[in-house]
Amino acid sequence: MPARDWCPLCASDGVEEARVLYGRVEHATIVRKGVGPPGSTVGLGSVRLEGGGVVLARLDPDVNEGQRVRLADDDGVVVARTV
Amino acid sequence: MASITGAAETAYRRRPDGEATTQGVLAAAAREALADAGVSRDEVDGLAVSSLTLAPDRAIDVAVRLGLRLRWIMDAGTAGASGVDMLQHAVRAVEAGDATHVLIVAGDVFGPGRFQSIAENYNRATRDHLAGIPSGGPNGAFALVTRRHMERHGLTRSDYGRLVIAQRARASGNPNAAYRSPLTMEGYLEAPLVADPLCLFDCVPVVSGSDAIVVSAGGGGVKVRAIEALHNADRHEGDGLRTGLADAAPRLWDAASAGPSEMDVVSVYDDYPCVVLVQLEDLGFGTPHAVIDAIAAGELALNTSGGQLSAGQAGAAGGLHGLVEAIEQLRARGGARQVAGARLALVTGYGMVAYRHGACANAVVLEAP
Repeated sequence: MPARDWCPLCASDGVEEARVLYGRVEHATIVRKGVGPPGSTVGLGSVRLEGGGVVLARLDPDVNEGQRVRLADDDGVVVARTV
Repeated sequence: MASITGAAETAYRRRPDGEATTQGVLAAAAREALADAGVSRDEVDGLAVSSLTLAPDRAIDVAVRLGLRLRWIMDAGTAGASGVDMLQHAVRAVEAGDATHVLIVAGDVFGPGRFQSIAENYNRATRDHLAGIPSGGPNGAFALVTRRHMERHGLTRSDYGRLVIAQRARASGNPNAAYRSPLTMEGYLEAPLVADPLCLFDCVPVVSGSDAIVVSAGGGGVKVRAIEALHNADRHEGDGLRTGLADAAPRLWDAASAGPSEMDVVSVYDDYPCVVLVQLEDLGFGTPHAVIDAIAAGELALNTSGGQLSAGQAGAAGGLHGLVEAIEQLRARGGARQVAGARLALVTGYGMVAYRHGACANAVVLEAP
């Protein structure tokens, strides 16, 4: 992420979409402002994918830094869940 | 030869009055900067504009509204890096003879909810994959960058607090700053968290306002010794703890015939404290711990206006704010916050959060007239 037309490493335009299901949470935060009505919080993490690359994902409440997670696509939003 | 002959900043407003418009604040800053330069409207033949809220208008529409007749025009889409970006292009345009007086202006007015709307639709990656989380705009992404920075360097919240408190102390001498009252470490550490570990004082306050400068033919103004840029240096594969300035720094200092220790004033783009420390390390000012010590001791004149963290971030004007401050310091017009004998200044630009961190980075070394 973000999507590329050319490979960032070799510049090839033979880029294919690949499905990645697992990764590890490198860093996590709880966002407490700008995520809904006052008092709302959202878990957000950077997840290093098994297969390369890093995505930002919504973390399920029981997900912590360092944890291996399963990734799900929730209407375009990447969600990280406990394996 | 080209030099900077005028600079101006409108009052920054946390809550703009209902009559304020983006075009209105751009026009106000433009008039003041031209008056400062002693350049008439009819002498302007170049225009560069940066704004997040001007749409559907563009630079040419600003020209029409102000009645400018132009040989050279630029729309800058680089937000936090747009000040140095526009200066880079304007200097080359004047040196090449394409224009004689270039007006550079940036600014924004944010009504209720406007900033969040812009943040959520900043680019396709943000709109399609982050807004729905929701990630809280750039605060969420930079909370993660800050977590990584703390881990890498063994930093604590108090370390960032020392930087923030030092900038707030500088802001007390800036009547234009949104926040001027002194900040204590206790007050910093007890402030509400926005996105752990970032607290209220780590996140740049959104304001409305505008900045402008004038670049003219001739060497009578503030001189541009060197400008360098390196955008998308890591192809967005990095961790956000290294900007394009790391690779650009050797060329910058070589062209400037000067080094970090010779900078009397340093304006570093400061949307978040860790971003300041990353840029300063990239440029060779030292490790975060050493830089924080120098800032807290007053040995490094960092963001003498209070920076955006205290003065506020007026959208795209944030890219010009540090330039205007450095220009004022080099002309000994810093008032209560003047750095005595300021002769050389460094100004950086940073921004355009492509997904996880900023993609743009640039810097300029300026010299007093």
